[in-house]
Amino acid sequence: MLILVLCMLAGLALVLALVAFSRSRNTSDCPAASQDKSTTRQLPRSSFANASAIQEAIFSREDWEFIKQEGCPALEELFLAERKAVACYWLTVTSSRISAIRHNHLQNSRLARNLSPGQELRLLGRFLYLSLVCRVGLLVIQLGGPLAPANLTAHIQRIADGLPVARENSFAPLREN
Amino acid sequence: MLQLSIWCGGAILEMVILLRGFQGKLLPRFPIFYLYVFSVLFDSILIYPVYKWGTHQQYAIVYWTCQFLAILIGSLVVFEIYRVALRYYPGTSRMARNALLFVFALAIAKIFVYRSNGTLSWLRNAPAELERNLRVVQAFGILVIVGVLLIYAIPCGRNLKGILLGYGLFVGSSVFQLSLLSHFGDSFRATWTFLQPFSYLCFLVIWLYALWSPAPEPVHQPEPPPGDYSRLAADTHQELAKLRVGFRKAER
Repeated sequence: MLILVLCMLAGLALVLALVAFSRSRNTSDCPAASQDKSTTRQLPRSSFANASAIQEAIFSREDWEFIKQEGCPALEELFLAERKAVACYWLTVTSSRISAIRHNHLQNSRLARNLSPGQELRLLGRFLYLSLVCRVGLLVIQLGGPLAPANLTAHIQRIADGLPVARENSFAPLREN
Repeated sequence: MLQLSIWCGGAILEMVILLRGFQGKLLPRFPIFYLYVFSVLFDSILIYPVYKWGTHQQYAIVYWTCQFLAILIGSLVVFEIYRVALRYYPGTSRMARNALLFVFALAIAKIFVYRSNGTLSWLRNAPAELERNLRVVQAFGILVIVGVLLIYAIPCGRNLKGILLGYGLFVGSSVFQLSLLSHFGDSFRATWTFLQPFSYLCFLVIWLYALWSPAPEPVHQPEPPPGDYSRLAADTHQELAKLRVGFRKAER
């Protein structure tokens, strides 16, 4: 029975992959792909810097403690609602940036002669991990409010620090895009 | 009568596919695929008289021999898809080659595990089970190619896409049918006798549609200078490192 189930799962996986393949369109004539490219261009460094400036304070408890001292429930409610929106925005921007980096990397790496499968797998792991983090972060904000991810990000950072890092000498000057 | 109709329909479709391939000069582009279609047509012509006038044992021998030959040529079709789809993408080709080698290494390892039973005795006693296992290996091989094509967004022309879809769905349906046949045995055999040729007829229609006329080759990007990948990977690492810094800031 187990063999039957495993074989059926293999067949199902193949059929689903083929359905996805049949629905995919070629990059050259695909409007979605060109939209992706425009998204990549719409995320300049300044946009990321803005998000970076926001994120320094976004999950901070200092503002929340200050608001609490005022003792005004309406103000607390407004603060939490706004923080929630900003936190979601930050995670959405980060998630879009991960997708853009991944798209750009795959578009270029498929042409590279000396592509390293090991390196590709490591990068795929990182992409998946960071995308998952963003999704979990969004879920945590929805469930636990905008201040909840502070603990989560601390945990994430500890795990992220344990991930393999690119060698210093491999950080060649950025190519002009 | 129904079986004869399916048999005739299949043979006619195979002949039309071969004829259109010859007319559209598709044979040199996909030689192994057309060899596969020709071999299946030849098998059908060989099998039907044995089915009609031969004994059950003779039919079983001819049928399973033809099936295993078709699997062998079908595996070469998988490699042809890989070769044609990824010829302009050396990096992706390397990824797919490594993954395919991994899949086939696993298959060989499995054969060694079952070596004590003897593959030939297995072929004699449970040919459906053996074919199912070979189809599962093929399914994983096709999964690897489809995965690489999807992840790296490799453009495919209509002809190649049709070959891949038709053969992939055929392998997928074979895995389903042979799994049920191996598990339920004779109670499923009557259904399978009609289901197998009928489903194959459907995949022939997919091939006929996709290969009716030669489709233009998709536009491929120019090749980057050699040695570019390490810099690209470093750029990507750097971009991801910035995101990690972002998480660190959020922590404060």
